[in-house]
Amino acid sequence: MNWSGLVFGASAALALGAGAGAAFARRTRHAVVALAAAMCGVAGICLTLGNDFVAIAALTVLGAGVPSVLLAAVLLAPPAEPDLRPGAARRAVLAALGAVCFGALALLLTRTPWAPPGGSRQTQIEWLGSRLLTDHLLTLGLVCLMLATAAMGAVAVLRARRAGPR
Amino acid sequence: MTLAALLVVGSGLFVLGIVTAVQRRSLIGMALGLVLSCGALIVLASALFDLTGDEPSTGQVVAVAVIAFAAAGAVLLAALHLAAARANRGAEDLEPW
Repeated sequence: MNWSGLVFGASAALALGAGAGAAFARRTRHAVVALAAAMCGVAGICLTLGNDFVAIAALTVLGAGVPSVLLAAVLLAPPAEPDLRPGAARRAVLAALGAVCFGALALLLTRTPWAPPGGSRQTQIEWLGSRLLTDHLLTLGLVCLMLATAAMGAVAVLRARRAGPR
Repeated sequence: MTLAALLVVGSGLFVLGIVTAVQRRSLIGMALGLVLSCGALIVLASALFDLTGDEPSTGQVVAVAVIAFAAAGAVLLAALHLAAARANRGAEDLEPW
């Protein structure tokens, strides 16, 4: 097994293990830390595919930025602990349902006859930037619009005051 | 590293994200599930676009859009969580700035 295979195996194990931790951790702050670790695993998988820019973006935005915001929200206003819905039977049914869904989805995806790869594979950041500014300019515009809307919505929600005297 | 292994990992991460969103009670838990599912979509898009088809690198564009969507959704859910907590408690010390 070469280095790429080793990195992929470690990243996949980290992503799935930490993802399970995020799903079933009893304390919310532990789940947020597990989410950050899972996103580090996703970044490692992207790195083994040669998508350096996506790996860096996933690591910085999803592995550091988003968990920081969520952790700050948890520390400012701690949710009720434990955050998990009560009931061992419910948890068992949900785990069984998740296993069935995982099996069906994995079987569907792996059995589908995907077209063989063709065309020249580009991984340079310059190429990605040129594609975003030419062929996918509408996508870039929509992404910017979505981010701006989300930022303005968050500010509007947090600046809202209750009506009437306090 | 094969396409099948990538698809299995992506499927597992996606199901874990859905289970997280269903299992947790708070908006923060829903945000965790959303981000986990978006991580799975990044893996699946990278694998399917890079290793199959005639557009080998479009997966990066899709992944960038998914990352932006996950960040926007998580920030909105965190803001809603803070607003709900402030409304419930009536506390003045929950100003995030």
